Amino acid sequence: MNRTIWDTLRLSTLLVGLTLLAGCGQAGSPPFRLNMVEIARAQIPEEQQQTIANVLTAMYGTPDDPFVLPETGLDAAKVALAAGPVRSDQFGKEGGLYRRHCAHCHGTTGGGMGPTALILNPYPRDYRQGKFKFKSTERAAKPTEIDLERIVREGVQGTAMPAFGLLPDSQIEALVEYVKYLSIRGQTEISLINALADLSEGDELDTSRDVLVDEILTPIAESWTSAPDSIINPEPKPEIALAQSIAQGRELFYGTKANCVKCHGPGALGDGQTTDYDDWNKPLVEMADAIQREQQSLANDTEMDSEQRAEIRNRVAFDSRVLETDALPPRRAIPRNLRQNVYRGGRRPVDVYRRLYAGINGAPMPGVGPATPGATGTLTSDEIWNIVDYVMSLPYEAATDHPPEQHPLVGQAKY
Amino acid sequence: MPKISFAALLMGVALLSLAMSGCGRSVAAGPAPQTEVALDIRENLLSGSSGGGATADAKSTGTGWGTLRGKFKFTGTPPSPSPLKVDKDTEVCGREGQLMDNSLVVNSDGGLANVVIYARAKRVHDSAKPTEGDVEPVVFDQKNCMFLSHVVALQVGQPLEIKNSDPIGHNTKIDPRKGVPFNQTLAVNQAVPYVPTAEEAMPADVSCSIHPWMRAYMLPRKDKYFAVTKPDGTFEIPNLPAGEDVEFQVWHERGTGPGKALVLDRKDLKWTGKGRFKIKLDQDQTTDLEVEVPASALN
Repeated sequence: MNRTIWDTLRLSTLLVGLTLLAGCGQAGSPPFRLNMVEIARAQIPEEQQQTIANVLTAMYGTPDDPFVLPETGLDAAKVALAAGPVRSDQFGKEGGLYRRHCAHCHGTTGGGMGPTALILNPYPRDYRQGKFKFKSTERAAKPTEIDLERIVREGVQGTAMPAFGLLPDSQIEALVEYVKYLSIRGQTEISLINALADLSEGDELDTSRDVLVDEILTPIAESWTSAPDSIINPEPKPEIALAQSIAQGRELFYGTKANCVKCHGPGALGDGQTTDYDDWNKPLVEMADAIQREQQSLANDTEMDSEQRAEIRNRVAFDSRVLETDALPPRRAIPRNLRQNVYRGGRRPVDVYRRLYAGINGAPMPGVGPATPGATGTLTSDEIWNIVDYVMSLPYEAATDHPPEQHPLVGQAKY
Repeated sequence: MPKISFAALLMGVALLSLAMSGCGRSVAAGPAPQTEVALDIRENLLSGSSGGGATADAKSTGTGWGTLRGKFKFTGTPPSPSPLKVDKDTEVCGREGQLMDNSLVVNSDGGLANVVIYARAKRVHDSAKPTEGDVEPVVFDQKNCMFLSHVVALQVGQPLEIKNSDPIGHNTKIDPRKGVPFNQTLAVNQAVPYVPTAEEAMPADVSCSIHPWMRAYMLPRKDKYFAVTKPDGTFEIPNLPAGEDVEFQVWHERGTGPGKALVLDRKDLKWTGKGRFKIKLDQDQTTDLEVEVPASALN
């Protein structure tokens, strides 16, 4: 064979080999992704998307080279230890902890869309709204560091979130700091999108310190640092016999004051209200509905001019693409089946108390305690403890022991 | 010749494998950051100097005050309201007849109710400034598994007194974008206050998780330059800045713009894709505004 063939063969082998090795042209790390769902909902044009990308990079850096402003309240050294590629130094100190332990489910950006997310149920938490379900604080408050550490250490029972209890404390603390970093970054992004949506035609976002730090970042950072002030500390449990407390809890469960039965169902199997969505999925469903409506109006409305038609068609195409590439298929929020003895937010009675008191942030589950400190709750502390006792007795009770239809409070066809 | 085609085949395989490896896969992730620009912004943030972008508020140029009065009119035949799917607590929720969708309420005259119109004014008249001290709460009741007020606009800090006048339990879930979210169970005849803590750019969703068809909207604003159109489609906002362009935001539950903004084709008012228009009011005068809303402007 002549030289040309050998040269070509060598070049081709090299190309194929490089492709197989590198996978792609870009070296190494994936970038942070923009929150395209929020961008699509607010109809933010492309030049403003550029502003968001620039401002976020200014304020938070990149996955390999994170940056934290002191006003975030974050510990830069901890963030740096968790960030970047998986590595260890000559003394065996490990770095890149987030990518090693978390990113495959929660994704580089913390949007809950890592490569394995699609096959998990429930989906991994999307940190970017700053909403966390299982915590010790009031409904709208952020979790404390201890809350997040506990989730990392013990995992979330009944979900794919494993326990990382064998990691050294320093690594768990670094991971928690990085989750907060991604969360504060994600909230900043949403605030930027809100601020851009609020601008008048032709105005540009003011990227001065006054706006970016004082107006946008500071309230977010303060909500994180003040979380320990919002811990729910229950009154002591009433001193009555357990059987009595369970019986009273049962009355409340089926009654019109606590309303548990409405969603958790007459058998507490979680089949009472199964058509609602949580705060992460609801916007996706609304977007899909809007796309459908706009497609219908394109098909049916004959009076629309071509300019309007083109505009709607572009929006439908863009929104559809966002739902396809930047969101997971929406899932309904199914109330917990209370007979399984599985408690995602922790199985200590105080954990269940806090779920009842504050409800579950981001989920349809309402609270029965006062919504703000000092306000009146729907139930008293004693009543909440009664329900805790009843709910925690359910897994040990045969489902046929007390058929709900025999309960005096249960009218026919009431549910 | 065979030599060339063999070489071409090899190159072809190589390029194909490159193409199939996922490079250049199109995703909607938006533009990549511009490092130079980002570093400049960071420099500013660290040094504490302000700069870049437009100033937040342009100077007010007018003097005096005027009133805007108007009517939103649905053009064409409004579709008849569709029944809501009531599959829970039917003996209470359906006791006064089938519940109907109330997202589009048009009276016999074409008046469009529940349009929210609010100003983004540069000057605020004393009478439109937030009331100091205790403010009269806005009653927000629910009966027969419907919220009795469908669209509520109120001041930041003004309590929303959430009531339950049904013989069954409800819960009220409020999801503002800036303010504090709320979701509390409401027992029979219970009343619970919710105090909005922040001004919202668009009305927030209010819902009931137990009865998913229940829907309402709540808009807290810092000043009193807001109105919700009455059943006849009319509204009036007094004491607005006169002699200068005032920007209004218009919203309807079925608006097609971002955040359900009502987007209309009104070039004379410079109506934008965000559902905003500008108007210059005359001092001590009432300006009348008639706004036609075609079916195509609503979802």
